[in-house]
Amino acid sequence: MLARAWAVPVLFLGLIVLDGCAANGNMATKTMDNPYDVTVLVWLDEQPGGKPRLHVSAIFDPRPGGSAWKQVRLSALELQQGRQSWNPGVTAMEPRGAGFEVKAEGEPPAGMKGPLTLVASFEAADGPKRVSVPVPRFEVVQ
Amino acid sequence: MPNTRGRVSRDSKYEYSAKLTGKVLSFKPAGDEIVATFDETTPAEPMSALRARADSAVYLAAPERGFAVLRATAAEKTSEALAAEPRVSNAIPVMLDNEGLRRYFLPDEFTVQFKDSIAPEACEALLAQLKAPVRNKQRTPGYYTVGVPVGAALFESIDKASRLPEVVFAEPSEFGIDDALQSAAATAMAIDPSRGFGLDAAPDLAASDTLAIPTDTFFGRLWGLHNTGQIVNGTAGTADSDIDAPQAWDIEQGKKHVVCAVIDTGCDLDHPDLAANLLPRGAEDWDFADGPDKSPDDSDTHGTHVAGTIAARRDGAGVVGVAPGVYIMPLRVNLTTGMNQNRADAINYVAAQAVTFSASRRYVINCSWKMNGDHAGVRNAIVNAVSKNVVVAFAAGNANVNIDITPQYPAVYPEVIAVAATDQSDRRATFSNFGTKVDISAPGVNTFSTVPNNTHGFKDGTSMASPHVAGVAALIWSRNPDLSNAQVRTILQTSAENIDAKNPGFVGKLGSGRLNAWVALLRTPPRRLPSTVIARFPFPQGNADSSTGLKFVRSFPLGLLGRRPVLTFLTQQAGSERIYFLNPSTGAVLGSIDPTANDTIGCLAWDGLSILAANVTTGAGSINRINPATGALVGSIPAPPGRGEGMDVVGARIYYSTIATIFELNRATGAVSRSFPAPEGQSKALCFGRGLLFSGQSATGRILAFNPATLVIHGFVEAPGAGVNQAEGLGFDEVNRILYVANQSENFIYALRVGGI
Repeated sequence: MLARAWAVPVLFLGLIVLDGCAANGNMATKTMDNPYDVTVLVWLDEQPGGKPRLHVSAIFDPRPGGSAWKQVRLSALELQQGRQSWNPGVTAMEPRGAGFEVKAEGEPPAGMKGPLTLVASFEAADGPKRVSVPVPRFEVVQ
Repeated sequence: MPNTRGRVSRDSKYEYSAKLTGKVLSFKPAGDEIVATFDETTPAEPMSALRARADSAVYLAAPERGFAVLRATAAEKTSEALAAEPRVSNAIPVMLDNEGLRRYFLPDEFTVQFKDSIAPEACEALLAQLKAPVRNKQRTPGYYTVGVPVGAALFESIDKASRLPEVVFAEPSEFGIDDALQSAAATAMAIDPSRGFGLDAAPDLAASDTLAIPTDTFFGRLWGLHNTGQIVNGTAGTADSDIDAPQAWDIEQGKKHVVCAVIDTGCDLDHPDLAANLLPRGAEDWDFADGPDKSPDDSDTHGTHVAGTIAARRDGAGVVGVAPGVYIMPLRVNLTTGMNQNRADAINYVAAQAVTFSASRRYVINCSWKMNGDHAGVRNAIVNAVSKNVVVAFAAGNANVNIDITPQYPAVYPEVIAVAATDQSDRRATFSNFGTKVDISAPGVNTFSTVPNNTHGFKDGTSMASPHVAGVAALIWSRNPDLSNAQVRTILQTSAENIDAKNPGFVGKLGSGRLNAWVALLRTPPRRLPSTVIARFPFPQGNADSSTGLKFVRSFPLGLLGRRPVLTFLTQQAGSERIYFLNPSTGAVLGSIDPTANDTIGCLAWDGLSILAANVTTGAGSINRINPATGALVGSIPAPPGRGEGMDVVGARIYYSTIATIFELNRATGAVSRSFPAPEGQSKALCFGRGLLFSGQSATGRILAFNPATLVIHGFVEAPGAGVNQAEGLGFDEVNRILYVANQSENFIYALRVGGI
């Protein structure tokens, strides 16, 4: 029964985000301060038989003509919503084509409202990097 | 207050020996969660006590089953404190296994599976010797959920039970976690298990059904079945990134001898898109959940959605499933806090059904759920089901991980078909798991299907991909129930479309590709139609050296003998033809004529007035009309060039074979309206009946029955007798379903009663 208790605010969160954002979950987002196109998707895995988990996937594709970061590693990742933030339990960074993918998962948050923003911090050969991109779509998968 | 569980002690080590694998399984406390148990007959007081504690918080509870999960910062210490709580029976930290997976064991229960040969009384006597009280006699024979003996420890007790030679395995009693659900009940199979596959069934499709796009209201949203690039739920797709369902349905839409067991949250039994396709329950109990609610209705939406994807009705309303003609058998399990052993019971139940109904049904299981980790009971049940000729499909999971590295059970078990999800453009769904242990991929994004209360909705997930695969497995078995489950699996995987180019980072990690129902059915060999030789009689002239023709005519004008059923039989010896009229029951010669106007006849037919004879002397070809009383030529129409080897009249058309090609001719003019290659490359004889054209194949010794409109092969009859020219003439008695076959190698006419048509 308590599983329902958190499900309600998370569902609400999803509705708020969907209302406020573009519906295309694969929309690439360009930011001025990094040489990558970032495609971000956040979903809540509700497949029965296990605890629901919130997942984040952010794919960093080098932009043509951009200068890809060297020796890059993830140092922090969080989802922000207004003053609230969600920190995942597990993060990973994997090569993906010419770029890389940042993955994160953790227990679903409760009570966050409004559009989500992904904030990722990296260490690279030429110093720290910080990327902030809006989450265009929040999905529930089963 | 009652405490039926009794106090148990704490293990010195969190490990036990898995008897099936011989491996020692070690665990360590996850550090942040605890499972506490209490007497389920009076749950209110212990639940209040647990909620009142300051050192932990109740995360979820299953009071009717007597346990709760609590969160605590110092879980191990708190679990010791909880064990001292008078209203709590026992407590144990939530464990991490050696694969890093989180395991929710009950501290005072475990399961034991005895060997098949051990009688229930003996099982229970052994458990009594162990002082392990039976808490639940599972439905699987010899499978028990038992209490840890008072004062003993969990893992020690498991090892002790495992050491008994009568025990197959013992393991912790474990539950999984998800949405709150309820439970269900059931009633009686009404079908005679001895009855064969659709022996009274009509052929697959009427000609008018050919390649019709369903008129179901929401068919346009079912991009996974038919993707034209349409926008679905706000997302545009890529044409043909689908399973080609309409093309597949031209071949097969599913038959009721295939049962898809949906082991899930239940099903809305009254949903108009599903109700007619639910297998009658009769007295069977399909509730494998723990709760008191005996309604099999879906209190969630998951199981109803999955069921609709498999077999929602093709009825002009709502949605349509992949296999709209098959049965759904919803087996409800508790996927909130349900015990794994109950899921094992559900799978074993299907295996048992598959044995009971092996002569008349085929079973597919769809499981769109996961477990916390490896579980001997569920694994054993899957192995059991697969050994009983059941196809088992599992969702690969939604964590965007490589399951070779981060295993998701049961999808990683090699016996199951693990299904990843694709999107509307054949790309791996971002959430979908992947890896070499994925067997196939299928649509699983923006999937529209049934949800309870006569509504429909979208869902995403590998849960939605897996039922597409289960549905196609059901179509394959509908078309040919003689295949084994291994053959069905092979067809599914070898017919999948390669989507590597659209998934460059996942080559080899999405199974054999994206499911394709159409190709799967094209690669499904036709079934052998059951046939029995009921009579055999020799050719009236002794032998035929080059040509024979045969037709059954129900009402043939036989001179003074009047109209009667007759076999018209042509033989040829050294350029001398004769047409005999035979008693179809005895083979006795009732009369004969010499078709004097013909030098060489390849085959014959009857058009109601005249005998039609293919004259192949010149090679230019003609079809001559012959007076049935005198043998005189009364007219002719042109025939396609080549030796006419088979012919029959079907209404205003004549089907005419020149071995490699079959022509459809206008009966009055001989004009060719259509032609197509002979099935399996050769047609030495033709006859029509029950909507099917039968074609004799000497090379394979098979008589193929196919729909002449769609060219879909319905099945084949093995030609009787021996030799290389076993089916040189064919006739068919539609009323009695008797196929007459002229075997030119043996010079015999066989009468076969044919089933399955």
